[in-house]
Amino acid sequence: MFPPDGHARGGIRYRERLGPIAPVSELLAKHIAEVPMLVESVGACERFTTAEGEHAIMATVRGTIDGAFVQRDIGFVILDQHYASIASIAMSGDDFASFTQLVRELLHGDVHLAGIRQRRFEYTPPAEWQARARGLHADWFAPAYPRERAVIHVFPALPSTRVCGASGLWTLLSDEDRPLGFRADDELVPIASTHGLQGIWAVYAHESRSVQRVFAALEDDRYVYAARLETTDDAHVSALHDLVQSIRPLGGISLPATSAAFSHWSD
Amino acid sequence: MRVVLPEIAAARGIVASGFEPLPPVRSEALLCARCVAPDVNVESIEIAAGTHGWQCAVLRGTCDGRSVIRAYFCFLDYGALVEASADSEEERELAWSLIREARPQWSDVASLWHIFER
Repeated sequence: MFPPDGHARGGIRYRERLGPIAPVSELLAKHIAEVPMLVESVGACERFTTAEGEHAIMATVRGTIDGAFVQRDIGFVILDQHYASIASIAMSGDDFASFTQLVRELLHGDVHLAGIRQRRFEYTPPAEWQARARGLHADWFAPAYPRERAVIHVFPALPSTRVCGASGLWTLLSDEDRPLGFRADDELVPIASTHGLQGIWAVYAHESRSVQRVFAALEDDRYVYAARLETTDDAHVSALHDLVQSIRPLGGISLPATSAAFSHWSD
Repeated sequence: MRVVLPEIAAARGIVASGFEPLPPVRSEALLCARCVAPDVNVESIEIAAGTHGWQCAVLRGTCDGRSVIRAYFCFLDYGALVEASADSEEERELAWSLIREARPQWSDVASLWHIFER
């Protein structure tokens, strides 16, 4: 997209279904390198959710091209297996603020229609633990693994209607665990997270008593956020507790406000 | 993904290969087979555990008159070879004391924390 008076003022480029997903610092470096610009500063990243509740982030980069001071605003909408990018370049200092605002609005209004689905959610992992990805699932291994057997399996956020809520998921998983020798007969304990979610907590042991599992699931009206620890040592239960406490609910859909700022722009 | 070794290991000539995916069935025989090299005369191969508990096959042998040690580690569903050569068996065992400290460092993008915070 270019402003009505042409390329000389700059432009905005939108791309979708890019991949693979990588840390934002890497994505940003890759996109910065696309333009032969002498970078002078990279602003702080601004995180927000789009009108559809997807994760978005943007940063402002300033520098020079052939001695002329320019600004780029680079943002991403992160989905499950791919991402979309919106990147602007403003050639005149008079346009810097308005281009930043335009990119922010475009990111916020970016539409993917991905809907309610299994997806990553936000939590703080235990310090020093390392993760392996299993699709949208994550296995977090204790720093001393395998000498100390402790693994936290974090499920993707699961649509509540698909698993009949946190208690429905618990029923499904405890049924799966029974043939493996885990006896899930203890009572469920209600829990609440620091971010307003309610849920259940269950501790159950293998019949050999050598290993135990701790299951925790929080829920809101759309999603179940679940994690399960398997360990031989009670000392690791606090790691799961802290992780569960840090779970933040996924953003919901909110209709974007129509921006008059785009009315005079052309594709 | 990479193999993490004690800092002193590089100075001792200990090198680690990149990770390679292992087949779903990971037998001890498979780990031993990964240790073998055509130019190494094998003295012994054994299954051992590293300091952090990672299973490995350890080959001791000679190559061009030097003592050689090759350890093939099984890090979950990936394998990696760590090897060193030494002038004597004593030095080789010193190398093994460092090799057995090997542990994996994963670089998976497994969560939003990896995407936004790392």
